[in-house]
Amino acid sequence: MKWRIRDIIDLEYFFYQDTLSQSAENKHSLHERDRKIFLDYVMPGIKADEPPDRQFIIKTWLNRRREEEKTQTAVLPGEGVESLLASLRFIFLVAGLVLGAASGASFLTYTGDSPVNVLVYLSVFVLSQLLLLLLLFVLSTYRLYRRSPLTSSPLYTLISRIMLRMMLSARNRVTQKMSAAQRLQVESALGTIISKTRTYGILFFLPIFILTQLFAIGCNLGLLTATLFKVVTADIAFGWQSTIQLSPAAVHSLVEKIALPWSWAVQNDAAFPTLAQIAGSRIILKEGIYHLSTPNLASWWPFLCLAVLVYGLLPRLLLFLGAAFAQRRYLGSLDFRQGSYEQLLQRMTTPLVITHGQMTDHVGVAEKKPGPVPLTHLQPAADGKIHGKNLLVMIPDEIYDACRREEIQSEVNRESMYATQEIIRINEDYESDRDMLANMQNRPGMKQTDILIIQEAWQPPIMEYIDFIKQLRQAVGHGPSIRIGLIGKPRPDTVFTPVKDENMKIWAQKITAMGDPGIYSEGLVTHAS
Amino acid sequence: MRADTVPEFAIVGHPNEGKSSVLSTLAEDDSVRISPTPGETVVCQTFPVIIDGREIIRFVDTPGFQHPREILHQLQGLQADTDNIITGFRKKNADKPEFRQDMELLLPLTQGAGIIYVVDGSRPVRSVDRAEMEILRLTGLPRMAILNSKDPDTDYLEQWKEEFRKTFNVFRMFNAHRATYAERIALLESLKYIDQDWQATLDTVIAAFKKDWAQRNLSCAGIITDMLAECLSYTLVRNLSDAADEDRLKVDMRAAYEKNIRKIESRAYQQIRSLFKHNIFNYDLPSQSILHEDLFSDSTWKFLGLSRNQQIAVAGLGGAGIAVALDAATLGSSFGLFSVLGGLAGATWAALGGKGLAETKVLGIPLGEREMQIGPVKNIQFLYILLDRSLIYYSHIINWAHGRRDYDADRAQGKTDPARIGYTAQWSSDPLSTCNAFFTEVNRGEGNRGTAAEQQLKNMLTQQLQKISNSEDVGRI
Repeated sequence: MKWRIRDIIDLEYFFYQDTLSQSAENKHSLHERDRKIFLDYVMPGIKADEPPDRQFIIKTWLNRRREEEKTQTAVLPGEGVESLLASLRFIFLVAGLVLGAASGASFLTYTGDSPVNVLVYLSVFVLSQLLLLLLLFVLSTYRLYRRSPLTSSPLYTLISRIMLRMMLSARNRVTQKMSAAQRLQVESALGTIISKTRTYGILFFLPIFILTQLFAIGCNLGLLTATLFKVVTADIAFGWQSTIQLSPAAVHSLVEKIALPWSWAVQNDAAFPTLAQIAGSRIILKEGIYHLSTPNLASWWPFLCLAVLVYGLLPRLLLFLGAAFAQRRYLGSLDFRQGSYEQLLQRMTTPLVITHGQMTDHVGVAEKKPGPVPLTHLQPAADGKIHGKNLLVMIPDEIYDACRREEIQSEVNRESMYATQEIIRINEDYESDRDMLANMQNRPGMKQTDILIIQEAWQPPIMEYIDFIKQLRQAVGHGPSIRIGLIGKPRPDTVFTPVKDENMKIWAQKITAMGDPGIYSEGLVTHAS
Repeated sequence: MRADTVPEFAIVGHPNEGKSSVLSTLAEDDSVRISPTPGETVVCQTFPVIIDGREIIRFVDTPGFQHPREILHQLQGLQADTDNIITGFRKKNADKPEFRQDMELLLPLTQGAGIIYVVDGSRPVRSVDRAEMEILRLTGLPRMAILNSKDPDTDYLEQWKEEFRKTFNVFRMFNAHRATYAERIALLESLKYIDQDWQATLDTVIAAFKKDWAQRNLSCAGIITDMLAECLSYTLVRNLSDAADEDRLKVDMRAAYEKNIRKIESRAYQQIRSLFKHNIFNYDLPSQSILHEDLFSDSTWKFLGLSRNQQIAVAGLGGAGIAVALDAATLGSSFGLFSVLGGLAGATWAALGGKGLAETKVLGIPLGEREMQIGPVKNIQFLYILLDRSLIYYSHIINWAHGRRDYDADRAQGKTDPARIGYTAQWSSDPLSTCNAFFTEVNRGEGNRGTAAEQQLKNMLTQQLQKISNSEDVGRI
């Protein structure tokens, strides 16, 4: 299935819109909307004997949401970002061309006093590019060697460390000036950035990399054009000079080595100057240039152009193509397993149960609705497909006894379709939580298990709770999604009560601030229920 | 606590339980940052009480506990090793950034501060709360607990009290909606019982607070009396050269008169505010207050001041005499100062003289030069309306709960009672006759100040202000 950057941007845009409406009522209407899309548009495209593909479901949902949104919004952000990227690509290429041409033309200005110095041309236009490529190569090799894509790159680490330092010091400086709400907003925004980077990784980096390559391609093309233009339209003398007594033979051997990549393909004279031509184009200032012969002075330009072509333009072209290919491949291999996608899939694949009474007139309509998706459809486990996962429910000690099993079953199964459930008591005391987390590390089958922590949302999200979730993530690894199921103040008859909107918001911000795409919070109980 | 140091009280608790609200009441300081988002306070802030240039006691606002269970776990481990476990804990975790807020909150405890533990009594007790209480018990410091109910829910109060009995020898309820002088004195009185050594100091503080408060009430009474005298005697005179402009001039004069009276009133309010709110720049009245109604609006005149029957009765008390009784009987009291004018459009203002709420005159001069005048006010109801508004303003100003956004929702009340809701309508005959005497004297228009009637009004108002300070109904209307 073909994915483009605009798809991801639009998906994120729709998810963002959905998170804006966090109240339980809104959540219910989201469920209704997504379930309808699933039944009306996804189901017809699924073969009965094949498990539905995640990418197919998400893409169908996205297309449907785009159609719905088109009537309200003129341009969706994905389209906007893509056209912006296209413009940027053009601008970068043209800017490169102009810069390359301008610097080439100004370097090759020859007044007849002294020839253009070949060694300087080579070091400014070729060697500098080679060094940059070498740096890129060394860093990439190091990354590959460490088997970690981007985060272990020394440059990346250095930049991120500097950024982090700056952010931390800025935060410390402004902490006292900012209100708690502002602080929480900033933390949550930072968390979103971290979380998105974790979800899409290199995808954020590639468009910038591609733009850089386009700029470099433009520069090289501009330089080549300027050089060729000058060669054709002006009488340029190329020569070389050196204070240290460099022999023409040494220069010849260097030039020969530089020309290795193309000397086999190009006729010898054009590939690089001969020893005689090199000796004949040596400039000795006290002797002037009048004694030098024109063919020798003109013999350098094919070599220089080929050097720019091979060492400047070609690698950049290859990098550009490689990056474009990598972007496409990366987009194609997204598994859509992170928090927002999990929530969406859950909404789509979970039957919508309405238990309140309906007017007689509406009963007929309700009956016509397609029935729930059989669980077996979603069960088979093959990579990239929906799994029938296990669920581990964690309940804090203080409400553990008040949580009736049947209530948990009904609240949890209202929104999700998990195969088995196990319930663990947490927050009894410090030691028991430690032990539980230690046991979690060795627990079998955690990859196939999602976790639901039931949390009273009226309790402020103190660091102890957040640290517990972080430690749990460390213990179980990155496989399981961790859902914080928020509930309100207990009533005498039940602890499963709806959450106040302001508490929901505070928890959502705090959880987002953790920057883990696999951890998310949501109200467990809707007002409607 | 060392004898040579200033007694210090640290206000500690779980985040978002109202610590800063308690502190703003104790320290009478609305600059304490309070918000509904937990974690507003991240560093300790000290609020010294300075009497005659000398610091007598000090309150410290602290951040909320972030790791209560882990701290308790560590403290229990430290018990065997050290005498001062809090210092031990701080030393052990000095380089751990995650404990930054906890370290900050424990700092005053290492210096022997008394503990004021604040909880929100409208929610159930949780294990983190028990951990916090146990931490405080382990410090061995004198401590009291305050139940600050953010919501009206009282289901959990007993549960909290039961928990408190295990750890605290003193606890008291705190009404965050009536964070007033009375509440402040009551809180300070309770602090005396957590450690006998501090009783004398706290007695000094309480006495100083009471004296300071009485002085402020006296000044406030003076401001109100001056404002009343100025408003009641205010006169606006304009020349009327062309008869065709008469209606227009009346409208203009009325607008100018109202504007100036409002200005005098609001200047007095600013003075009252600066007496009580040194630490807050932008002060908003609570949304439900009747003071949002204009001084000359119908509803102000309907709900404040005296009822028609009260006015007639008051007229017999002497002072204003028969003129007041006549006004009350003919024009009633539920009209604004100028409402009659609209109803008698076309009639000259001169015709209203003696009957109108404001004495209006046209002094016709044969050559065509005429003069028009509004004021001084002849209707005593105006005095009661101004008085009621000032007293209501005072009652809002002395309530520190107002700056708080976190209590707004619960403060919203239903429609105001249609009966007279001001303070003056509840007064007995003594204060009313003092008002009458003052009104009559102002009405004589001789501009004499500092008279006996004025002094009596000031004394009477001082008493009324003290009464409002001690009442539970502060900030009601």
